[in-house]
Amino acid sequence: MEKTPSKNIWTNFLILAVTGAGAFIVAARGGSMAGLLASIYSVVGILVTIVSFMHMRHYRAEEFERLEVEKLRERESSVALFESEGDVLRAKRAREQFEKWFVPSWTILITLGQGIAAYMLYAFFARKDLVNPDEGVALLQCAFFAAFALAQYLFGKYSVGLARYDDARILRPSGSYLMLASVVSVLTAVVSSATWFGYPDFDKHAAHGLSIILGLLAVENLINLIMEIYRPRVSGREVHLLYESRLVGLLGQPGGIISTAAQTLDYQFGFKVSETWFYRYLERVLAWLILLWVSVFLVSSSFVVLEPHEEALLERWGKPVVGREIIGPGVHVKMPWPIDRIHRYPTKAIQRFHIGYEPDPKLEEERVLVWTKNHYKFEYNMLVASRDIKSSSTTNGNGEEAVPVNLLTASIPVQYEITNLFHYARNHADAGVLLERLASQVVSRYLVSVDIQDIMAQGRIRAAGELKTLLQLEADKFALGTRIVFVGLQDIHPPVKVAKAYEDVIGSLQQRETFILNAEGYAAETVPMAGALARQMVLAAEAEKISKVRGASAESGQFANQVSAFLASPEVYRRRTYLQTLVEAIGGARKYVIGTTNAQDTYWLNLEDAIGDELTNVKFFDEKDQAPRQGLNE
Amino acid sequence: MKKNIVTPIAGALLALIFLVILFLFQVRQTEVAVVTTFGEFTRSIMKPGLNVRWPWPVQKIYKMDNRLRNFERKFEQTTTSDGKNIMMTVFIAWKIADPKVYLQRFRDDENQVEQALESVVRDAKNGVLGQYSFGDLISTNRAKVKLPQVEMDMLGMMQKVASAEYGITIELAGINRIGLPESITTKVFDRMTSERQRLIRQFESEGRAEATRIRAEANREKEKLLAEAQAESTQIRGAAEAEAAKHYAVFEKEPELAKLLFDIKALKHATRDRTTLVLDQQTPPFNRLNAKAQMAAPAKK
Repeated sequence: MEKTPSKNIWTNFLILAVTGAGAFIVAARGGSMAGLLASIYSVVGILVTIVSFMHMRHYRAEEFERLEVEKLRERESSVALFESEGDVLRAKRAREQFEKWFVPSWTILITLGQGIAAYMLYAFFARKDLVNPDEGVALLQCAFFAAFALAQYLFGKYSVGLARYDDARILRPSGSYLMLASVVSVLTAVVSSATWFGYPDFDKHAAHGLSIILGLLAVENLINLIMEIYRPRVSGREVHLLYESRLVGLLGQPGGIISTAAQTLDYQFGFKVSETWFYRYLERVLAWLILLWVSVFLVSSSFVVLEPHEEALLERWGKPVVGREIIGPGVHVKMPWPIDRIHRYPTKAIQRFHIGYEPDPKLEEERVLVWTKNHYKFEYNMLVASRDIKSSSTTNGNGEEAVPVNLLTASIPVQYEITNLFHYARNHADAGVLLERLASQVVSRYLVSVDIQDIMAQGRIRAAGELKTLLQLEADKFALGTRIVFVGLQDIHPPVKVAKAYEDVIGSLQQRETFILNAEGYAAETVPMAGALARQMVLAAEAEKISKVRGASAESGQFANQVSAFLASPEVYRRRTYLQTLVEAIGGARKYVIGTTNAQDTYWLNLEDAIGDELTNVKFFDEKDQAPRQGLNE
Repeated sequence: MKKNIVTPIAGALLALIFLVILFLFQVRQTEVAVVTTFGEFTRSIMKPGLNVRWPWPVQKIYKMDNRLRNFERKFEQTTTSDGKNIMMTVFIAWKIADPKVYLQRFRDDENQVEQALESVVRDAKNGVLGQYSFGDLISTNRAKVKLPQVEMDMLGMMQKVASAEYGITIELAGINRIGLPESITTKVFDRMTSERQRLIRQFESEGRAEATRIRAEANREKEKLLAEAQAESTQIRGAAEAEAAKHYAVFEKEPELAKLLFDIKALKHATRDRTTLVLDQQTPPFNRLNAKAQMAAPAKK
């Protein structure tokens, strides 16, 4: 019985080392973060086990020394063999020195290790670019961790049970770590099965949680160290092992809380209320839980429900199931996993891709699409042949011809459906991507053999039909199992950089029509107006003619009458007519009458600039001396 | 006794699952597998189904996708036989032909396969395109375009290396994007813009020319109409003069009176508007303002 704890602690060490190494290898192979955390917990357990082992060696040496001293004292009871007790109880002193210096130092190292590891792992698991665990080995990983958990649980439970005895209490820290490691292994097994079912994120979340718990353990150790400084030292009182974590004990044995309460009841009532009732309960129901889990799993994997747009390949041990190679929408019964497996495909759904551009969700909201503005995130320039480029101007002095091409951008949406799932899924790893590449090939090959003006105008609808036919031929040639539903040339125009020049051509056509229409407007205005003017001229002449002839006629008639009056009294008639006319003619005119007594003098009046002025302002010049003379009033 | 039945069943079930996982493996209808024992090649499995194995680490199973896989090269510049620069993207479709060789060469790492094939594709593409002129690749005459021939030549070159060295077979090589280097693209844009400018000038000149013609015709028509009207007017005025002259014969009966009447008529018209007259005292009736003359006048009489 004496050597049992020592053997047991060695066993714990071996179990932790083997399962920790195994957890690391399996987790590294499967890419499981939770599995890596499980191996780290085992490493911490190993460190605790090492210090427990050293501590136990000191206790054993002290016990051996105590027995030796007692035997010697019984034999030589009356003789003082030693001058002082300190000379003989060296093992005890060594144990005390160990507890005073080594244990705190070791605990500080463990705490630092836990804290740093927890911080680094927490930061690492918070990254977005973590790779998901491998689904292919998830089930194998689950089995391994279940086995690790079983071994850790059995040996941990045994150690914790044995630690209830005073001489084996040193086993409790390593036993608790084994129990905690078993819980972590079970958790890893569960998240591995979740990974296999297609939920790889569970692994990351579990790893995240485990890294937080590692940090909490470090905090607890730190608090224990501080509390140890202020703990009152009472001789003979059992000390708490500094490297023993209460949190580990709690997490490793959740039933411990109930067990503690049960032990209190035992003491109160004086009989064993529980003993290990939780263990017995677990032992009784564990097998049922396993059977239930397996049954639920097998039953749930025996049914499959396919949505209306889906079909699936049904495989038994990897081979197509004869007569049921492809199953359609609805509920289907199949052999449970891993015998039968299905692989779903959206065969009835329209699938689509784009040629010539990469869509941009922001730009797709634009309500107006013009050539001079990008419609998409990227628009690829595609080479198109050109008939116009054959002119002599395209050859330079060295006889080198210009590149006989034009560039355009085209956005071509392609829609297809899966018509032959065997061909689609069995012949090609990614038939959709291959179809997209074949479509790009067909479009490129088509465009390099058509003229840009043809494809942008009358050849556009024909081109869409031809592209669809050509793409279907290519898809059939490589047995893609797809039917091309639609190929459209939804945008086909010159690249944005030259689109304005193309628009300007349309503008110049309008300008040409504007020039012509303006000229036609001028003609439409000028000719009728000229006609009207001509007519006006003729009519005016005619009116003049009428006026002239009638006037002449009237004057001749009047003259005949005036002749008789004239002949009757020529002078009187002459003077009367003269004066009558003078009154009518110059009655309203301004008149200056120059009174003169010397009729021989000649006066010269310069009226060029003075018309309208008072005659008194007019300067008179003498013809002889040309000197100005006084005005009339002077 | 009741307790003892369930536990062994559960244990046996778990053990069975564990054993199945350890000793059996499936190969899907889309896969081939290679089995190695302590690293040594043991066998290839080409057909789907359930197979037996020794557990790891004794035997390892490498399952590989046996379907046609495809990958695309970069958009890369190359030169044709007539020295023209051109950009191209080539894609290929390949599948495993010999799983053992494939595993040895690439350890089932698709990235390594693509890295190896990338060099082969580049070599084939540049080599083949050097044999064809630019006109063989782009022409409005579809019969002259030799892109399918280029792709076949590339496939032939790649296939030799891939099947002999890599344990794979290449079933398709295609050119799925053709373009021009950036500098040439800019020049093509310039040329396309110039072509459009030529058309713009042509259309606007056509418009101006037509407009000028229409205006000239309109002006000609206008002048014609006015000239005809002028001629007709002149003719009418002449006729009016002739007709009026017939009435003037009556003035010959008393020419002196006729002259007087014409003079005073002209005087009326001449002084119609703003007129300033400067008259001396000899002009009747203003001679009446002269007292001497007034006095003398009766004497003369």
